[in-house]
Amino acid sequence: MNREALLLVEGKDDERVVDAITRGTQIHSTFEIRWADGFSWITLTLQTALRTTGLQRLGVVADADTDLAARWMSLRNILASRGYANVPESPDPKGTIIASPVPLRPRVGIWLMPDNCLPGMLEDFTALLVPPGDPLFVYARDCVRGLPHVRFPRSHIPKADIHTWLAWQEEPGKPLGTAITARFLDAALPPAQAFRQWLVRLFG
Amino acid sequence: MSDKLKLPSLWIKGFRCFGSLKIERLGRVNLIVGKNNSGKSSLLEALRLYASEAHPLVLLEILESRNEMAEPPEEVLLRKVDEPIRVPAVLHLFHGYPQAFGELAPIEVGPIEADRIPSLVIAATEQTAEHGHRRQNSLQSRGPALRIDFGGRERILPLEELVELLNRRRFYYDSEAVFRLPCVSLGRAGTDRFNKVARLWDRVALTEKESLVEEGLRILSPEIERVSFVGEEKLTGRIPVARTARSPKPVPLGNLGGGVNRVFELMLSTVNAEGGLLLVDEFEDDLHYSVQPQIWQKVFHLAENLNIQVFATTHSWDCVKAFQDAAASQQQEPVLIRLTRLDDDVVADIFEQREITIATQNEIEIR
Repeated sequence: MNREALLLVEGKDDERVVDAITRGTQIHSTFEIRWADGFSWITLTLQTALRTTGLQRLGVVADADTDLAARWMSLRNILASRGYANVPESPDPKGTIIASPVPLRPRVGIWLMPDNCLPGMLEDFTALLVPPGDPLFVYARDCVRGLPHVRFPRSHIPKADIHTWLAWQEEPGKPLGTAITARFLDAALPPAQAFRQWLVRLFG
Repeated sequence: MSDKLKLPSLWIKGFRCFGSLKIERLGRVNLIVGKNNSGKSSLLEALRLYASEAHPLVLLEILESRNEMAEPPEEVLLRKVDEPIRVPAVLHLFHGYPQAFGELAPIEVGPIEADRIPSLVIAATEQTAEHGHRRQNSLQSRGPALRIDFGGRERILPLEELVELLNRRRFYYDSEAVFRLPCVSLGRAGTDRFNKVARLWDRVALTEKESLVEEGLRILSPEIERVSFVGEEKLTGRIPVARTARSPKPVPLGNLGGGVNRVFELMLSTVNAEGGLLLVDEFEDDLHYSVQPQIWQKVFHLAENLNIQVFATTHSWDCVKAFQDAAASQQQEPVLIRLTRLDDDVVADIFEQREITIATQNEIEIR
């Protein structure tokens, strides 16, 4: 196990997507991933994770959610309290990388799903990996929007979209990470490349 | 709870690997972690010097425990101090591997804010006729010496006096008696020397504290009823034995397992440290992970009730987890201190209870 590189993500699906996206690159399995329970867990854990013994590189993959600026500020404040005065005002669209400001503290990378610019979540990112022109995805979205009765909150519509679509693939019901390795989703598309390049810049 | 900590913070300057080590906040119970050679043992040594106000016996004991006095004492303590390489053993205590007595920066140990609580300063000096030992006319009137200042009280310790002391010293001496501030050190399991454990026992035998020790022992061996010592000091050494429900005759504690011995020594050291410091090297030695939370809880409890400040070192993740587990029910926040080498110095990272919990729950390495 590599004790020098650590990635905090919001949940198990994020872990699987990171694994699938980095497969075949030199950084695959070179860092540890921790996840638990969403963004609040990340903010709670980040302060301590920054002080992991011997840590050289620390990444955070979080959902931008409805208010990207608020999420960014909250991460920026935590970093500032640990001596990272060099965090930019807003996220880098290519994924943010912050140099270690003092000895014994890691270089830090932040990626806000889906693309460091738009509000959204992991499922919005994976929606960007649906092969262009796929006829079922448009149909799946329409289905979700035409439901006679909705049991999930509005904010989870992107989740419903992608999982509805996944239910109609050759092997229905695959989780997001597996859908990438099974090539239902296309990891060669630009959004996946950008995310992969950020991971390589951080951990490579 | 109402009793103030002996040391609310710690600043060690110029001692061994510490150029300037600042620990901004200490708890009543402090667990010290860090890689090999990060200064964990040196920190305990500095506290021993502080609590004894740099008593000569403690100085000698510290040097001997690291084999820094492997040669005859006259050789290592009184070599011509300016000869290169051949330097007096006490130089080992000073930061930055100094090679000559003249170039020593003083050692300082104390709290960061030194308004109420005294600090200890040890500096190199030259003994003058005025300081000379008048009882022993064989002593030279001039020579290298240590100037020791504790809270403004100053005394001079000629190195020659250390040599004398080493020559006179017998294998038996009551090392706990030299501490101005009560201070009991527990080394690694199985390193008891000079019947130290038996002497600690003599101090509490037939008192309430004896019962506290026996209570602690029952965490591991519920069948233990009473403990006593048997054996001839000079021949076998004095050995702890227990009366148990199962055996008609007393059983040596060693017979009940290494863990029982360790807990016995730990509890005995703790109750002897009332009003002072308890220093434990490698807390988890000989202890199965499953009993460690209970043992820690006992230590927390006794530290609170007997007004003890505890400093324990560990390498073990199980020990950190047990510490966290026991700490969760504490009112007074225990603290985990990680020491890390940085250039020619050591830095301390403090982890509070909340952070230790986050680290153990998420397997974030803080050792």
